[in-house]
Amino acid sequence: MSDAPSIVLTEVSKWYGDVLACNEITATFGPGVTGLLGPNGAGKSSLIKVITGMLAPSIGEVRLCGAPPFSSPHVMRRLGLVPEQDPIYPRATAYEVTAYLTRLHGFSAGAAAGAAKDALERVGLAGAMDRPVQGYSKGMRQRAKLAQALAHGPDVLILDEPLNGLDPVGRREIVDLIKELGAQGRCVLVSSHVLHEVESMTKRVLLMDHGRVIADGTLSELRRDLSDRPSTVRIEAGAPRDLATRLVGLEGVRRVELLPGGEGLLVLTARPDELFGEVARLVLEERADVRAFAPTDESLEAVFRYLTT
Amino acid sequence: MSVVQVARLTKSYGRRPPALTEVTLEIQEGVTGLLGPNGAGKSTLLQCVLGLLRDFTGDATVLGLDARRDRLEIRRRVGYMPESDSLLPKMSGVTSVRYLGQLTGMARRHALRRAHECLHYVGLTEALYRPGEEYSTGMRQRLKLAQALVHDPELLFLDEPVSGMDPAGRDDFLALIRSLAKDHHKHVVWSSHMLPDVQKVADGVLVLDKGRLLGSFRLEDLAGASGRWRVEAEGDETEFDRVLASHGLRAVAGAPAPEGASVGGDGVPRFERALLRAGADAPGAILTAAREAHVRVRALTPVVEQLEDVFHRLLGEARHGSSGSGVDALAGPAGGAR
Amino acid sequence: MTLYTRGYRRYDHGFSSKGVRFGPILAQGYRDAVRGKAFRRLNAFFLLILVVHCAWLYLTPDWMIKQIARQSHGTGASAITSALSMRFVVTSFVNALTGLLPLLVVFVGGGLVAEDLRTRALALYLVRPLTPVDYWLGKLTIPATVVVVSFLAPALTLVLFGILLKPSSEMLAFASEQGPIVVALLAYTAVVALAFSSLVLLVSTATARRIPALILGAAVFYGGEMVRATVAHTNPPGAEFWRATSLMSDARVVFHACLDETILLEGHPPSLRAALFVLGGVTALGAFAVLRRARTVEITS
Repeated sequence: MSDAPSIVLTEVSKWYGDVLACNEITATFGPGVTGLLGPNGAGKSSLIKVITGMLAPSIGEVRLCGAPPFSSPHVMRRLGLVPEQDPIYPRATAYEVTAYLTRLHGFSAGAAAGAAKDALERVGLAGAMDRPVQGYSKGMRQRAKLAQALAHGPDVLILDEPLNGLDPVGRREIVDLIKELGAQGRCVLVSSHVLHEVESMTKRVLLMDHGRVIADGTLSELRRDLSDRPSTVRIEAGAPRDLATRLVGLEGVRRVELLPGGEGLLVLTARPDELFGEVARLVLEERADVRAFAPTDESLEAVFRYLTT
Repeated sequence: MSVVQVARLTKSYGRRPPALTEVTLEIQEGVTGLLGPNGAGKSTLLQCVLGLLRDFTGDATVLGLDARRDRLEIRRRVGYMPESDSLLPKMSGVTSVRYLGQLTGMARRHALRRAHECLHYVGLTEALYRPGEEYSTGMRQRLKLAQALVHDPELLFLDEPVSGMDPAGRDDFLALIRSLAKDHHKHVVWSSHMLPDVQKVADGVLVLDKGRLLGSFRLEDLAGASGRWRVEAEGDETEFDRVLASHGLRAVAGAPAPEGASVGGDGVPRFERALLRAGADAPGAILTAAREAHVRVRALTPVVEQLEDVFHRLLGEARHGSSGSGVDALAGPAGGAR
Repeated sequence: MTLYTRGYRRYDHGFSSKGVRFGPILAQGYRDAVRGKAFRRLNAFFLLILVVHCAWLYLTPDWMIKQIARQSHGTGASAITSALSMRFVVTSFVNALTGLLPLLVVFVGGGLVAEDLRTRALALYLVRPLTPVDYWLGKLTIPATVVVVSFLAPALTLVLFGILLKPSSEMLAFASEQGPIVVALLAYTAVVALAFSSLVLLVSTATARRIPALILGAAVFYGGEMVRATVAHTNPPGAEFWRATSLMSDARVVFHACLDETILLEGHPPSLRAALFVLGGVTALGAFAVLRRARTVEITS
């Protein structure tokens, strides 16, 4: 029953009348940080509600640390959630709310007080924890939500847009905090639209669109699985037209496009390795004026865009 | 040519420490990023510049108009997109934009036509007649942009314009702003905490902290400033390092290996290197070394300093004195909580 | 064949809208108000009352003559002049509607500022070339205009009807005698339009939510009347003030003062001075509340 931190979804589907939010989702999340990505309307919020036991799946099975989350307080005690909405009880202080919610998990008053203080310090609210929440800025509210999710020491954490409203300093702090939580062996699921930040937290992602999982794995695995599609390489060169003439005859090249500002070209090829070899050869043997080159479709953002359009 | 000039601007609210202290800055033409942690004074600056505050010391001029005397005229020529989820109650998209256009002084018939044009431009073609309260986050952001554009202002202030939008929506929006600036010659001030977005669109940047201006610079000064090169290659790393060293090029391991080391399509391990000061003929030298080491280079790019790193460095230096630790100077938790 | 620009176009038709800056607020708000169910029902009822009073003017039944005789302090039962009859009917009309006007104003005005606060629309208003005073005036004139349309227009119609009932030879003379009544109606309307609307704006700003504003507004109006009725027979300290807590009665005091009469109410009526003080005070408070809220608009969260 009491397994390592994990979330296991088996063919989970969720619908509201005729509106299908999640369509046969099968995935396993273990210790470490995983990014949950997808356009708006992809079904991420519904999936989060199903994982946290707020809604039952219409069909399929959800297991948190080996047990279903529905109506099991001992499973829920191991779960922490940072929702997208604002926290409740605006007139209470962050400390009061955090301590209260921690007590609801079964802590004694003293233990809850200590846990709440620790959590609030970790998220950077040490100075402000005794002020009412309604006076907080957006970033502070976000930190308060995080503290509430962390205080009872959960093994599984679900964070829905955790960096919302934070300034750049705060974003870095919380990204570091999330990485640390993952490194401690907790199972952390982060849903966010800010792809480069997700990339800095983890390499493991689950990509959803229209209610289905369309990709599940690390970025490298995704790239490898997509490696049979043609890739686009951007080359900055001094004499783009000449270079274009040379490259268009290369095996595998599908398209060569000159960039509008005259700074270089984009080459679409089914055989990127041959292209790299040829570029190197042109530079070394014919002193071609190449200033930079790199594939353009390998970042998380590029993969995401490719998969969701 | 500057669009906004502020000289020795100081503003305090009651007995609290001043929100802005002796701020002197200029906002140039084009797209300018306005950056700063929470509490830096950005909103106060915006309020002064929009003519919403009168009791400040110092001078502020917007599009040649004085921010104290010509407040209403400034607001006729400036558009503002608020950060908050602001909507007009019970009005459809078209009605709210038309109404706000009329409140800017446009006659009803012109405001109506203009509302349609702006809503089409921002991409809300289908939802025009539906109530604003039914709109999704992305649509609301677009609606806010449409109301900021209805009176064809010369200068636009955008406050966290893409917050909450998914990546596709964000790209669309950034393209819209770029087009407004480049094709239609509008000046844009973009205030945001998402620094990579700002880096994609802005020409210049202003950084504020604790009521003071920390720095102002053009983004083109960032490009090529570092003199470093990033190489991504497939093959034997150690051999590559050895050959590079023998050519006098110092290599530093690049980004830490991702979880599950990077593997190329045919199973050949990939690695990254950052090279320091490789000189003008870096491509040639690096590719020569690569050929010698039987390593295939997949990417070869000059390292462009990231706006985020510059921002954190500026902030760190200002808060803790010149730390000299460069990229990763972070504010401590107590100071960062805001 | 001419190709026109696609995408964004410039605007070059100028900012030439005539009229006051807050005009669009009034126009839009009024249009929304008259589409509301509450307005239509109350307005229909008001028109019904107008019709009833027109019928009275026309018929002037016996019992009404006796009533008028009593009220005109017995100046000869047969010499009931048409002027007195007119006065009686118009006063009755005002009395009938006095109890309902608060409802009308509360329904029309309760959400005016509250909804803007709920949807954070103030930021959108204040970055326009508008001052907080424009915003306040725009919102104030919405219920005020409704009062003019729903009350003053029918009231003046009643007077006009009464004039037209006369044979043509006497019409002009009779019309010129109705001066005081028209002045009284105008004064009453002005007081209701300004003070009632200001109270509703005050509660709308304070509660920041429409339904609580409706409830609180109604409570102040009708609760005030209850307080006045209670104090009318006693003489506690500050009685003059307590008797003026009913805005409805205060407005009626103004109406009767213009007709050079004292209002007929149980017990001690409110004095004109106290009534004007309370009405003016409410107007000022309403203005202060709205202006203060508009001035402290946060443009970033």
